[in-house]
Amino acid sequence: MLESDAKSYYDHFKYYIENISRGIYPLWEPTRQSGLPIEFFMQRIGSYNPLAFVILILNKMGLSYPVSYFWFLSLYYFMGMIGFYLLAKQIFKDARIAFAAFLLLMFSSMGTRLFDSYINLVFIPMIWFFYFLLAFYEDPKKHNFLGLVFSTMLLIVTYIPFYFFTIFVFFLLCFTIFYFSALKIFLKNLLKFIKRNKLLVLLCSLTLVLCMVPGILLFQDAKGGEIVFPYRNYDYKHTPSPPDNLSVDVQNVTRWGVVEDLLYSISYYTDMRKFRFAVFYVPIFAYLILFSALFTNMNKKLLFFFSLGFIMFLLGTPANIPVYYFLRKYVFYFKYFRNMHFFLWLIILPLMILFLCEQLRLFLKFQPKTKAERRLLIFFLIMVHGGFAVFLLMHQDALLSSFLVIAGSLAFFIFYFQGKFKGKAHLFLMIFLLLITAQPLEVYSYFNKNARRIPEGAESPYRYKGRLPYLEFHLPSTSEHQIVALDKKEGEDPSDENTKENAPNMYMGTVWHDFLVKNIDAPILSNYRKNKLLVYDKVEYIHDGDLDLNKFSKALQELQNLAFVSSFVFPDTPLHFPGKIPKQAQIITSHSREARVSDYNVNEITLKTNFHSKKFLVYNDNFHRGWTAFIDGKKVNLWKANFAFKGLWIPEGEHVVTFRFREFWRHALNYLLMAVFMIVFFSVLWTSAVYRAKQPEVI
Amino acid sequence: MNNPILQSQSNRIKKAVRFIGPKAIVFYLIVYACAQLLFDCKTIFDRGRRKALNRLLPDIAQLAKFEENKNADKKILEEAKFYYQKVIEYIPQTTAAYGMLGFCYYHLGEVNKAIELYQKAIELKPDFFTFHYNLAVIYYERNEFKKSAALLKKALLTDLKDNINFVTSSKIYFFFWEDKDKIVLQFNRRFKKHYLDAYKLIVLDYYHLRDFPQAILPAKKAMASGLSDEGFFLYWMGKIFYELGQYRQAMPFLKEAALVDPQNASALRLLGLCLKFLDENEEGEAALQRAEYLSSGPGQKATTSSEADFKPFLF
Repeated sequence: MLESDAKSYYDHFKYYIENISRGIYPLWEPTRQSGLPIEFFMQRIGSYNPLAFVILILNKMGLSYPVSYFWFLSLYYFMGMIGFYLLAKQIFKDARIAFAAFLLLMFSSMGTRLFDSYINLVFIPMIWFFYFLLAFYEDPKKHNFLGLVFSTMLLIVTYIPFYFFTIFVFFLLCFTIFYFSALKIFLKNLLKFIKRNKLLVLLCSLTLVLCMVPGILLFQDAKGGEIVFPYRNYDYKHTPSPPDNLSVDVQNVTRWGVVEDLLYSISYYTDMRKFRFAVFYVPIFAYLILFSALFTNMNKKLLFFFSLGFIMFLLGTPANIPVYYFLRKYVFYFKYFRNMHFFLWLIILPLMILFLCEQLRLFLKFQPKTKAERRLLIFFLIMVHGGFAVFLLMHQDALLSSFLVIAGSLAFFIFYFQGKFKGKAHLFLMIFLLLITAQPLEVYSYFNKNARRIPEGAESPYRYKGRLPYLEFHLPSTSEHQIVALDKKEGEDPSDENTKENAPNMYMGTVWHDFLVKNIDAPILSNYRKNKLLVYDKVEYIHDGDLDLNKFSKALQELQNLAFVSSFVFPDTPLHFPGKIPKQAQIITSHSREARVSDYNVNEITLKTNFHSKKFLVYNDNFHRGWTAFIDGKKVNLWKANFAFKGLWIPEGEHVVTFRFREFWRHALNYLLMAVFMIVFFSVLWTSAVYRAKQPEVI
Repeated sequence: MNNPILQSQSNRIKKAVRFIGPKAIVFYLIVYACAQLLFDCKTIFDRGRRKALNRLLPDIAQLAKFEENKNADKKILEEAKFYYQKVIEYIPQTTAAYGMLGFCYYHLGEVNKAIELYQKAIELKPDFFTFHYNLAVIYYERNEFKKSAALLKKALLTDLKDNINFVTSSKIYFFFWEDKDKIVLQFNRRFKKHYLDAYKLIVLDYYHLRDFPQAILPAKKAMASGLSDEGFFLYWMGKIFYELGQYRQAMPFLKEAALVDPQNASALRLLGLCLKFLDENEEGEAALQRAEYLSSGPGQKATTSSEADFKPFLF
């Protein structure tokens, strides 16, 4: 069973895939918090990523959605690991070491994070970005450039690009310090490439700018103040109208960092049988490399890896080291993202593996010149391995595989330095494979045992289930409204779960809906919202700030025939119609003749109405200024009704009423981006294939 | 430097420095020293560990299920055991964690370890009711009535307010709740119930030890304090006098017990026997018949005052 954030990502993907398979790019989600723009969640999953279509393809091939999704995750992860292998090969120019790096990362706990987090969605394009960067530096060809552009595009549109941007800036800084001359060469090559491929570079630059548009729009939307994030925005809890709804409270950021992540993980090291999600783990062989290579020389590469890793460590420790505060003060985007401990996984972990692999490379390069030197080396290796085994025995309820790996590693190094592996590359790699994977296999068997499972017969823990009711529109079958009674007795526990005081902080929602959740009793609100479409004869114009909560709450509870319409200016429209009017608002049901739903998707709903007199219709889906309403194709005023929902006047007679979320160009932009991503992705594959075909065959 | 010996020594040192200087181990040592100099590593680690502990916290609501149901899902016990072990490892002065770890071990069937931990908890916090009480329950279950009674005596000497203060000031018990007033009320109720249970248990302990005078004292005290016991102490006072052969003293207690709980077959049976011993055979026989009817009659509920019906549990 997926846990934590991975659950919501599973849901977001499902929502996206279900919609896109119907030809709809979803912009609105009507079932979350009474409706909210979904662009934020679509940005989180990187919805333009052409590889996400793997889920759709597998699903259409007959696999269930969960199976298709897990296949996608696994393939994506494996792709990332291949990228890491290629990157390591570029760095070390040694396939054996690159293989070790690949295995160490592959069997680190990064893989487990597929099932409790979403960081792999950012991590994998980032690996490929650095691979293509290095490849382009060494061989400034089109396919490498396109690969670089494609991975950058993915990084821009997935989750929050700030992690990548921060890593890249510090990477550049360290690179400039350690490899200034190489940087000059790179820039020179880049300029040459630009001169040679002006059109391609121009197109790619435009594409990158285009990729930024959804993020900028999202940012602007959030700045508009209609969407709030009460869960992550501490300020919002204390000030009803925060200046900046997207910003993250400092306390939220400093609550957890790299140090905490590491200490949390260390608490499991004493007994790996308890292994769980989010435990930072690398195979034990990594530590054996570290200790065995204690007497290898440091070099520029090692210092570069260390420096970059150390800077990221400082940044990832916001509670204790003031680097974060400094950046938050002077760099605007630092107040828009939290989870600084992600740097541990996104950059420190791969750097650590590269660092260790460089050490391994240097260690294996060492050739004892005399017998005495060889004996000394063997003695040292015995001491290191023996010492480590004793340490494990003393401090851990250690696994059997740990001791097997220690023994195997000792034997491997001794044989290696005696020259037993010369000309036996396959055996060498096979032993690497065994040494690196033996312990993780045991650890992950416990991990599997400890993982939570959906109990047999239990309801699915995921959001979207059943026969896709979230993609359809259902009206109630009866027009009877049952008034919920709030018979709170004197002295009754005030924190009863049905009351507004106990309303949990929602992650994201419209500011008005959040207000209702916090100020109207939950049973009243949910009972009211059951009625998707309501028709009123009487309207009262209100200013949001002057809302009479008791009156409003009573009106919702009794479903009075009185709609509250928010307006800055009270228009001259008659507030109600002459003649006797019913006490209750009319509930539109699936049998109503006056109104019926003729077309529906998550971004748009069309109704056919036929009222005998002018009415005010309330659609109990959240109001947002991205919505527009049309009657018979003509744009009409859409009001914020009953404080949080949508409402409009409907004239008598037959009409077609349409509610549409977002303008045409916003929809077009998403389809355009999907197409652009697809084109660039296939261009990378095509140009790479062409390049490889042109290369002379190496025998 | 003209002295060739000095020069050769200096060359050797230079060579050694050149050899050892660039080694990774030297680099690590320098980094470690710098980190110690620049950062308050101890504080950073202490803080980090505490935060890490919060994340390890098990589902306390699930754990609480073990209070009354020993067969609840044991998976949570392993998680909780791990958590409290870590609390003790990181913050050894957290007394409450010893108690909670003892609770986990007890339910995992490792009773000796549970005893050790409760003893340690009592050593660290001798004036807290729960540690004494829980250990007393364990001893009672192991038929070590003397030890159980001694602990209960100490438990009953503790102050209710102090106990509640301790619970509400301990993060182990309290930090996951926000509404302090509500929780204080809840704990007040729970402690009162367990104080009552402690009185019951101590009476039973002394009864088993055949130390009847000692058993009468807490029973009298409990009755005087007005704790709602559904006739438990009345029955046991009667039973103790009955065991002492003081049938006339036993009778009022047993009568009262049968009045408080008309279904109390045990009280009626003893009452019948007392009456018979006092040669009031007719009334005695009637009481015995009634007791027999209650115990074996269809749909009759069993007595609440017998030892088998009292099941003390760790909390």
